[in-house]
Amino acid sequence: MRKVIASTFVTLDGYMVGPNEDISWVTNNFNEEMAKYAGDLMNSMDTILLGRVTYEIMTNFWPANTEETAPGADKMNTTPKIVFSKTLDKAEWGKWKNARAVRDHVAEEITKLKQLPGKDMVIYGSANLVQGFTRLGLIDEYQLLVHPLVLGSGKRLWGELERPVNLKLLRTEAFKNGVVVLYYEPERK
Amino acid sequence: MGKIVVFMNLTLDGVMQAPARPDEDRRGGFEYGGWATPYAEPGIGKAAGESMATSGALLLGRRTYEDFYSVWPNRTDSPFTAVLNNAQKYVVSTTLKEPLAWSNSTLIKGDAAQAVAHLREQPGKDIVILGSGELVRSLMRHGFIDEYILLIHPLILGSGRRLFTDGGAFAALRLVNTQTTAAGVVIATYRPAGPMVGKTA
Repeated sequence: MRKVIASTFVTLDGYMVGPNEDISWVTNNFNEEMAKYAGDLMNSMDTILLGRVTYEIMTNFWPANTEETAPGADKMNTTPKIVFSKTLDKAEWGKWKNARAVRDHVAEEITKLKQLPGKDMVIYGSANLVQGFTRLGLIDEYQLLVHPLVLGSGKRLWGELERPVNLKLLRTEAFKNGVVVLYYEPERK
Repeated sequence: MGKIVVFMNLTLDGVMQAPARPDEDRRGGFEYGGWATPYAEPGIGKAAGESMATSGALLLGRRTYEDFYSVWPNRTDSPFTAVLNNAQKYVVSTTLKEPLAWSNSTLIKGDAAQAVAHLREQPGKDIVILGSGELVRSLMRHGFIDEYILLIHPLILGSGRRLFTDGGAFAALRLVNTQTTAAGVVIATYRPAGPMVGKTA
């Protein structure tokens, strides 16, 4: 069965973005190893899952770009997207018409999608969605790119949970720029 | 000069509260004390031992000092007891009074930052901070932390006190080393990156 993979960068102190959605600490620290990571992940998936906030950032960026101006744009633009939101009725993605909004029955939707044939599904960023999916036990793998800095403020990846979630460390990678990629899956008991 | 080294147990979501025992620190109604113990193994003891072997002294906040003193001197079955008893311990507190009860303990009162700056300038071995979140955050604001050894445990607690709190000091770091234990604890070592020329935080 295909997996739901949550992939996000995060600072050592747990922020996914800085104040005002600042991710200059990612773009200033980008290197070939991170490009390879991103490319490999893209090749492993055929569906993108997004929360509303990350969707709004991405839909304002990727459709206006091409492979020449932003590597990865072809894949990001041509891959089907599902946006999970309590407020959106529909989701747009430039001329591609391949984004849709899902408001209710999220667990049923994901369970159904997992049973379809195909490649993995990837959640980019989307802290609220990652937290919600974690509560529902819908995430099969976490890939956290931990950047070597303490930011001190911003939006946290992790929030409150009603009960702890035990994970199993699958592997780690350390990049030359100080980023450590942590691969986990939920502990199945 | 000796480095100031932070040695810290953390969950993946950054919680540092009460890793060792259920009754260690129940502030905020915290129910998950002792969360690190299922992952304890020789690999972690080795990392702790290496860290302690190169350290000339321990630097502790009041709360961690009192907690350690309530537990370790009575534990005669652990080699760690002798290490802790014998280690020079500097204790930062505005409320404790001298003399401190535990052997080899010295009280730092008044301006802790100034006292730590002085310790840091002494030639000699490293000074290791165990636990003591408030002290770590305070020293970060002064730029006095020279190394972080973070033991990142494979669980998300979803509640509890964090090491790095909102509104904390910015720090650009460089990764020095990573190790992984069989139980899935990632031991990541960082040092300050130095001035980031031409880059904005």
